[in-house]
Amino acid sequence: MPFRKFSMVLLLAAAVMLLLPPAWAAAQVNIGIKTILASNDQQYEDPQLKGIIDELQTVFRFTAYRLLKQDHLSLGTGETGNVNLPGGRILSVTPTGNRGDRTQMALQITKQNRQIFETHIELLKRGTITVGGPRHANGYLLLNITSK
Amino acid sequence: MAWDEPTLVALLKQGHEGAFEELMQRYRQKVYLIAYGITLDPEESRDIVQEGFLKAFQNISRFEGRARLVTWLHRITVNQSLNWQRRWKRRLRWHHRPIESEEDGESIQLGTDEYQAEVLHQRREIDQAYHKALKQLPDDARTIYVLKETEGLSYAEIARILNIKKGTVSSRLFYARQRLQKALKSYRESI
Amino acid sequence: MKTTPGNPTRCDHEQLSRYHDGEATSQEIRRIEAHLPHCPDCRNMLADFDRLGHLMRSHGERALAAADTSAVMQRLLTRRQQRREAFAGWRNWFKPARLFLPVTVTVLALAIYIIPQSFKIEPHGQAPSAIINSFTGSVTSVMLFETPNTHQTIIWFKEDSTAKGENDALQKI
Repeated sequence: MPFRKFSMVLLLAAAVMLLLPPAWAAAQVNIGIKTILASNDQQYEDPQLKGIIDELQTVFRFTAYRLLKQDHLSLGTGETGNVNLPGGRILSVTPTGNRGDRTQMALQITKQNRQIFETHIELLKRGTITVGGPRHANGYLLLNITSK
Repeated sequence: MAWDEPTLVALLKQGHEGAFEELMQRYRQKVYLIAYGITLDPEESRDIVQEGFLKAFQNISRFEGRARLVTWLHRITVNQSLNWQRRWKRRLRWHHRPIESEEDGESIQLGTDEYQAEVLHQRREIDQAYHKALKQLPDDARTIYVLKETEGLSYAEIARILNIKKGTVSSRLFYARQRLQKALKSYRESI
Repeated sequence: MKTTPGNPTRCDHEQLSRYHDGEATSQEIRRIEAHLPHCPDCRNMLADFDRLGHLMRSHGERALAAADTSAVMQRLLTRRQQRREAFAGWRNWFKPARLFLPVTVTVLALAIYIIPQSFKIEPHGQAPSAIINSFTGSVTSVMLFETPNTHQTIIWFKEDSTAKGENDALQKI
């Protein structure tokens, strides 16, 4: 039957497409960073953080989450991108390689040229890590970092 | 939907999806409490809840109505939990242990203005000691203790579920209490 | 078994356990109630049984609060629904004309990368979003968490607020 043969050809094409590595996945690492202020001085859930707050609330017990800023970095391996954070802090992100479906990267937070925190992680592609909590204003900073 | 038990059972036997949902809604917490009390593993307990209800739905035709529905669910849950204990199912789990390791999956109140380190620390100590003491009890003693203390079942009900004598329930329960008492002696005033 | 001075009734702690549970016989109840006013040990033991029971219930309730059994229920209902739907339409898929359209749509979707973007590992059993290989810094404490639903990794650290900030903790996990 012609329909069946055509369907088989289409299925074969689909299988080939799935097996070929996507071309754009090789070079650049796209990273999204949301800087969130979490506090207990009020009741507020920033609508731009829908979906994130539910997940954070499984660990934290803050009553207010506010998105302060959003940044995007597109970095090659070994290239460092910087994001200014409140309180004179800077977040530096450096992809260092790949391992399977994880991107290896170094995250560093500095303040007035002094290193506060550094960690080396392997982040799942399309995965998110949240780093907190430097003190700021009446609450704490949460950095929600996603590999896109 | 507030079906009485005979109606619920009849609907379950007909394969009514709403009845299945009602069954889970009514008893999922009880089932979890029993599974967790026996296995002391939150993830496995969730699996046991899921599998337990599936099993209940698959075997509802065998439920004759001589005991209460909840007793029947108790039996299924206890058997599944004890089977898990016996099999000692090992799964590869990615597990980050926090520096201050906690065993019961409790969320810590971070960043609150009323954070009282001392109180939280002591509470966690007692909890960990209790969890450890529970784990060290033999499976049968822990099962009986859980059924008594979380579900408030009578000795006769427990004996029926586990297919043992009432006298055995009494002695194993007392044994569990003695062991727990001994393990938590130093925290006595704080409990 | 021990005898307390001034009171011939012996302590029987297993009997006391039955009394605590409302399972003692009437004769046992009479004996115990005559004995209790004279025996602080037995009174303390009864209080201990109560305390231990309370601990068990609050331990279980804390575990239950963290468990999200409604998600388990939802997963189960979804699974059953999917099975029913898959079973209900299977006969129709044998007609070639019907097979053509969904296959074409599937391939088109693949061609614009819907499947790679939406192919997500099921939450249950997924690895954590991030593996932490090392951390260092001027911190007084670090805690690692993994959220129960999506296994998102969370690092929480407390900055060292001393002036020099030289409290350097290098940890390798």
